[in-house]
Amino acid sequence: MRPEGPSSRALALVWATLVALTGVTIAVSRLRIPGWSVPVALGVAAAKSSLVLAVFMRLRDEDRAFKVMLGVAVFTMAVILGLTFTDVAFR
Amino acid sequence: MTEEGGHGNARASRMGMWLFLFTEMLLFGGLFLVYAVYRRGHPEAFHAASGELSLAFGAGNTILLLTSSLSMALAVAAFERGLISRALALIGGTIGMGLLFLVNKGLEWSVKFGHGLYPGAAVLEARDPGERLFFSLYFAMTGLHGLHVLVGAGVLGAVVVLVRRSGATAERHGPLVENAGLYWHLVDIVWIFLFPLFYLIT
Amino acid sequence: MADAVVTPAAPWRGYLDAPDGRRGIRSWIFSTDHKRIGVLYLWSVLAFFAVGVALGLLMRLESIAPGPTIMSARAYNAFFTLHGVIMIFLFIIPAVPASMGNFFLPLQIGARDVAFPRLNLLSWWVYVTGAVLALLAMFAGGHPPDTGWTFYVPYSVRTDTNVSLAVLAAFVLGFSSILTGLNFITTVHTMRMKGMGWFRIPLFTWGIYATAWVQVLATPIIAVTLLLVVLERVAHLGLFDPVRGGDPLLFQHLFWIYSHPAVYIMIIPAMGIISEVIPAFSGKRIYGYRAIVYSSLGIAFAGYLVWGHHMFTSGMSDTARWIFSFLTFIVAVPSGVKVFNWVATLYKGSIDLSASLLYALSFIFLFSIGGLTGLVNGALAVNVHVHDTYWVVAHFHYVMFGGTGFAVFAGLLYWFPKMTGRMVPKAPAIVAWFLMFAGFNILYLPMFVLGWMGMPRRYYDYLPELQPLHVMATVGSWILAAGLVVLAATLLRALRHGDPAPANPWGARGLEWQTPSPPPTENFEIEPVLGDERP
Repeated sequence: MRPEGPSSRALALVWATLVALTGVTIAVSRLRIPGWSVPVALGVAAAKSSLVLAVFMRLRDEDRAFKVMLGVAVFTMAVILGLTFTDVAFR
Repeated sequence: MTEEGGHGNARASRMGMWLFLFTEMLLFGGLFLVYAVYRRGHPEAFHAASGELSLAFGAGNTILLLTSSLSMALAVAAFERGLISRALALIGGTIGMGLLFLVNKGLEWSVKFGHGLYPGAAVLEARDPGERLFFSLYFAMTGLHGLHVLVGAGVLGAVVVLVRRSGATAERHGPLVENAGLYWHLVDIVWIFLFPLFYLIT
Repeated sequence: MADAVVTPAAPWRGYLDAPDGRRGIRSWIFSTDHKRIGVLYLWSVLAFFAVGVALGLLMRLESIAPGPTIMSARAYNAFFTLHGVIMIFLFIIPAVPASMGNFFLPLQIGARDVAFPRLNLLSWWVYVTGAVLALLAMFAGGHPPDTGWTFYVPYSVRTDTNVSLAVLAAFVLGFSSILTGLNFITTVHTMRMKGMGWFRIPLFTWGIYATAWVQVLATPIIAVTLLLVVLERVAHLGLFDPVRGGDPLLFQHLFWIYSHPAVYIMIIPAMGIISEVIPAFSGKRIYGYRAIVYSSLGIAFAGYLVWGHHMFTSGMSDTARWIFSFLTFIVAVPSGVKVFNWVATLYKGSIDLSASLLYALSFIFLFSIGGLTGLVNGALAVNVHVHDTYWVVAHFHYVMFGGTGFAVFAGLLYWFPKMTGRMVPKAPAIVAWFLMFAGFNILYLPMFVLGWMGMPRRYYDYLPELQPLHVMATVGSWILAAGLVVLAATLLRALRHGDPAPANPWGARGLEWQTPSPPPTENFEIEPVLGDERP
């Protein structure tokens, strides 16, 4: 059986972190550091989604099968993107 | 004859939901792929067009959706502890914030339409092809996302009605409430990516 | 269990007697029993198969002579489009998973039903909705779609035919496929009987499981692509329109990102059937069980790596062309593993040459021809020559019809006693097999030659010197059709008049043979025994 879900405090803390990360990503985009805007924007977005997945969606309490499945889905998406760019980036 | 007893059913229903969420991820994934290709091809035009979106609206809507997700997570937690009426109130809050998000989105869209920034409009046709692609993607992706917010709010509304009518217990309706919540969080995650990709291009 | 004893007055009908005593069609179309849903799907897909065959026969008849023969060029374009749409989306994708998979996956893992029985029924209704939309696209006024099943832009955006409706039909059918897939994955994860570890799962179920993953992770891409085509037509987004900055090649990428893995949705379950039929009629266990499991998963994964080989002449970058060409050859490895293992299973077996096994053996032969010619297509330089010719048409019919089609018939004959409680007479089934096997090769072998000589696919007309081979192919199509008619008549007759089937007529392994034929509503009245039953 799954462990008990996160406490209200923990949920609120995650929410505060998500809002703070939103602030960070806006602030960094304003700095206009060449070459870094896309990696930072995507990195922060990935961090935020990981928090939502792990805590709000309780993925960390699920057994291994769920995590492997998510990994397969993300990996598939990465393969699709990567192989498309073998065409687009070298045309 | 099944491998597990009653808890197996809850686990199965969550697994089915997660698998469905993967299909949603890949659905938006196809659009993100189109976005990536065109942004790579037209970096300057994407930057210029992005400047015409209102950061205040985008950021405000982000906070709104994040908060609605918090409210949903709290609702699931409350439901699990048997605090049914509290859970229903929190779900109501989530629905309200979702609808507010849509109202903002509608205002934003109508401003863009007012400025002639929509596919096929003369103003936009006169611009750089990259800007046209940006706005086509903007409407396609935020439109599909908005549709998901609407469906999510509808599903949550149905959950509230169902739970109210049939006298809920944490055991019987737990998976239902949790799955509706999972769907809502996924819609939030999609927005977490849409926001920087459209509003924060530098 | 004494009351389960068969009495002559009331023969055992298992799930065919609805548990609540309801009769007629309502006890089928509203049933959540996976077996009844499987049978519903079987009738549906076979009905559409018949329509697709009829369209194909008429196309062959048109091509018996150069110039107009029996239809206009516009009608011909509609015919090959509908033939493709029906055969792909309405027949071959759901053919094995949704029909036989639905019926046998729960039985093979010792479960009472699938994880979500109501969702299962919903997926059939969604399928029917999609089918109705597809029929509307054909007959609801206006012109039927003429883009080919591939819906390539820019033509699909510009044509005035009913493309939006056809695209919507494919979208809805995709949704049905997704629901089936996620249901099966969850079922395999959560409903296996006690003691059935991952490496005791029968190979057919493994095939359906691997396929289900492709259904779940690839179908959404075609869904969003088709959505974009509709938006292009309605809202003029210009995302695929080169005049407005869009890239039509991107449509082809998105289309094949789904449609190549979809080819594996069509073939992996068929391979699963073959992996059941061959050991059953060889009196042996399957050779290399684990290798077959891994090769199923390997094919499912490799399916995502090779879509670019459909686009070698479309104007992709050279880098992408050689990468995709190289990756294409990888698919041959797991496919070769399977063929090797099937043949090794037959080796020194005590072979019972049943009709089902004849179809399975033909599968190995025809699939090997289809697979090896696939390698020819995969070679970049050769592909430029044979691209969009009859060579390709012959290649994929060898894989899809000679492969999956023959596997469907092998599976149908193998499991017919279990599904219906009746035996199929052997002699007419073998006559049907002979006609089909001969007709198939007379129909499609000449197409390889035609393609090599430069006959483009989807052409209404051709040069007179190509006529002899076209005539041969058309005659082959008649022989093949005759075989199909004999098989259909044999099965329909057996449905009413076949001898009653014992629980395990073939002496096969697998839990589905431990329950009576046909199985009772909740599959097992006595807990099945997972003894030394490793497949």
